[in-house]
Amino acid sequence: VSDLPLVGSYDPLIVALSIAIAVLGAYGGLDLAERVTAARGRARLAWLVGGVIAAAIGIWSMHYTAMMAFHLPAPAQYHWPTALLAFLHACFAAFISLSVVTRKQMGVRQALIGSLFMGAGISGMHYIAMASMRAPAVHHYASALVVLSITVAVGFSLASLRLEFFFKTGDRGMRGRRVGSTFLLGAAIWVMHYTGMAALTLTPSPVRPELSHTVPVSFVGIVAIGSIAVAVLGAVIVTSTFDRLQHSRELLRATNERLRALSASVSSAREAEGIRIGRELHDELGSALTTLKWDLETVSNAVSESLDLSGVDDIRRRLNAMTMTIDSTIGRVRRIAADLRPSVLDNLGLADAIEWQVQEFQARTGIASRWSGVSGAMPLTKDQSTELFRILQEALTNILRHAGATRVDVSATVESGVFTLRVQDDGRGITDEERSAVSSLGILGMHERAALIGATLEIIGAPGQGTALIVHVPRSAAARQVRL
Amino acid sequence: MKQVLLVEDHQVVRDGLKAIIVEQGIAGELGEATTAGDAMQLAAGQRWDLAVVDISLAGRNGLDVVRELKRTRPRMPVLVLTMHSVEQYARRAFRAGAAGYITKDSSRLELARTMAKVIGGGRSVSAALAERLAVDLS
Repeated sequence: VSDLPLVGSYDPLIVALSIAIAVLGAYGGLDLAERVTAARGRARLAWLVGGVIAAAIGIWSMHYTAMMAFHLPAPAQYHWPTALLAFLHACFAAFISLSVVTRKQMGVRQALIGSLFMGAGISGMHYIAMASMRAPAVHHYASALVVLSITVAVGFSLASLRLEFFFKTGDRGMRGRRVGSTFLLGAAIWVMHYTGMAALTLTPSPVRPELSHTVPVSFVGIVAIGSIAVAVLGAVIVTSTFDRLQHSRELLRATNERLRALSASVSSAREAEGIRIGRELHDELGSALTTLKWDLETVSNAVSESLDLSGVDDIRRRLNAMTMTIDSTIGRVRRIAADLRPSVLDNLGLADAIEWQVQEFQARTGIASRWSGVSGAMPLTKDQSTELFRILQEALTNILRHAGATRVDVSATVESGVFTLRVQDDGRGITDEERSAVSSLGILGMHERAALIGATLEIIGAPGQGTALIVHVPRSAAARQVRL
Repeated sequence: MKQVLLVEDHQVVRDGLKAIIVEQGIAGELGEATTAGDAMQLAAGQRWDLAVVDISLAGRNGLDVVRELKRTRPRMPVLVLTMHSVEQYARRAFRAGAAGYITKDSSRLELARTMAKVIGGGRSVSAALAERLAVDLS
C-alpha cells in the first residue's frame, strides 16, 4: 500500500450535466418559493415544502451526478442511509432558509440568516454525502479550501436570495432577476461541490471498506438524475397549472367586477331615466298646462267683463297663444313617449324603426346618416328587434359622444339566415384600450344585449378610418334565447 | 248628405271631430266605432263616404284596420288620423290603402279641408308631416 494520493479523473460531459442539475434544482426551488410570500396558511406551507424539496433534490442530485463523473482507480460504493441523511439535512437547512427569506418583510438580517442556512445546507449536505463513500481510501481535507467551499456556498446563496427576494416590489425586471438568482444559487451548489472536492485528497487504505447497506455509484447517479427530472418537471407543471388557475380566477373576478359595475349603472340609469321623465312631465307639461289654465281664466274673465267688441282682439290673442302652447305640449308628449319606447318599433317593426332613428339622429346632430335596409322579412323575434334597436341607439350615442364623425352608415342584411346589423362611421376610430376599458359600460351593455339574444357583436376600429359595429344574429339564435 | 265613419277610441277626440264635421257641414250622418270590431261591423252594414281611422287603437294595429276596411269597401276613402308625425307610419298607411294621413295636432281648418278633399277622391298628407318629409329628403 502506497502513501501516494489516489488521482481521480472527471468525465467532462457528466460534470456539465451535474452543473445543469444544480441550476435546474435552483430554478425549481426558487420558482416554487417565489409563491410562498403571497400565499397564506396551508398554501404557504405547500409552496414552501415544494421549494425546499426541489432545492434539496437539486443539491443532492448534483452531488451524486458529480460523483458519477469522478473516476477513482479503486471502485467506490455508497452507504445509502448516509446519503439519505445528507438529503434530509439539505431539506432541513433549505426549509429554514426559504421560510426566513420568504417573509413579507425581507431585510439584511433575513438575507444573512437565509443564506447562512442555505450555505450550511449545501456544504453540510456535501460533506455528509462524502461520508457515505465507501472506498479503500482515506480522506484528507485541506482546511483552507474547506472554509473556502463553505464561504462560496454562503456567498453565492446570499447573492441569489437577495436578488430573488429583496426587490419584491414591482414586476420590473422580474425575468432578468430570476435568471440571475437561479444561476447564482446553482453556482452556490456546484462551485461549492467542486471546491470541496479540491480540498479532498484520497490516499490508499489497507482497510477494506465496510460494504453493508451500500449501493454502486451508478445506482445513486440514476436516482439523482431521475429525481431531479421528476422534481423540476413537477415544479413546472404545478406552477404553470397554478398560474393558469390563478389567471382564470383573475379573469373571473374582473368579469364579475364589470358585471357588477354594469348592473349598478343599469340601475342608476333607470333612476336617472325616472328623474328625467318626472322632471319633463312636471316642468314641461305641468307648466304648459298651468299656463293654459291661467290663459283660460283670463279669457273667461274677459268674456264675462267685456261683452262689447273691444275685448275680442285680446281674447283672440290669448286663444292663439293657448293653441301654440298646446302644439308644443303635444310635441313634448310625443318626444317623451318616443324616448320611453318608440311606437314605430312595436307597430312597424325593426326596419322602419331603424330608419326613423337614423333620420332622427341626423335631424338632431347634423351628422349625415344613411340607412340601407333589407328587402323582405327579417327573421327576428320581438325581443331580438328590441335589443338590436337599443344596440343601435347606444352605438349612435357613442358616435355622437366620441367619434367626431361626419357620416354614419347603418345597414342590415340577411344572408343564409344570418341577420347582420352594421353601423359604420367615419370618425377617429375606437382604440383597443377604449374597447376593452373597464369603464366602457356602454360597450359592455351592448355585448350583454347581444348575448341575451344569442347574437355576436364586434367593434372594429382603425385610427382615422372610423369605427364599425357589427352584430350577427344566427338563424338558430331565436331558439336559445334567454328569457329574463 | 255625406256619411262619415269615425274609428277612434278616445271620447274627447271623437267629440272634437264630430263638432268640426257638423260645423263645417262635411257630413250629415256620423257613425262612431271605438274598436276594430265595431268598425268592421259598421262598414259592412252600410255605405260610407269616408272613414276616419286612428291607427293607434288600443290592442290592435290600426294599419290592419285600414287594410280590412279597404277589403270590405274598396271604394270608401280612408283618412288616417294619428298622433304620429312619422314618415314611416305615413308610408305604411298609404301602402295599406289610406287616401290621406293627418296628424292630431292639425288645425280645425286643415282637418276640415283634408276630410273634404279625401271625400272628393283626393289624397292628402298633413302639413306637419309634409315638413318632416321635406327635411328628411333634403
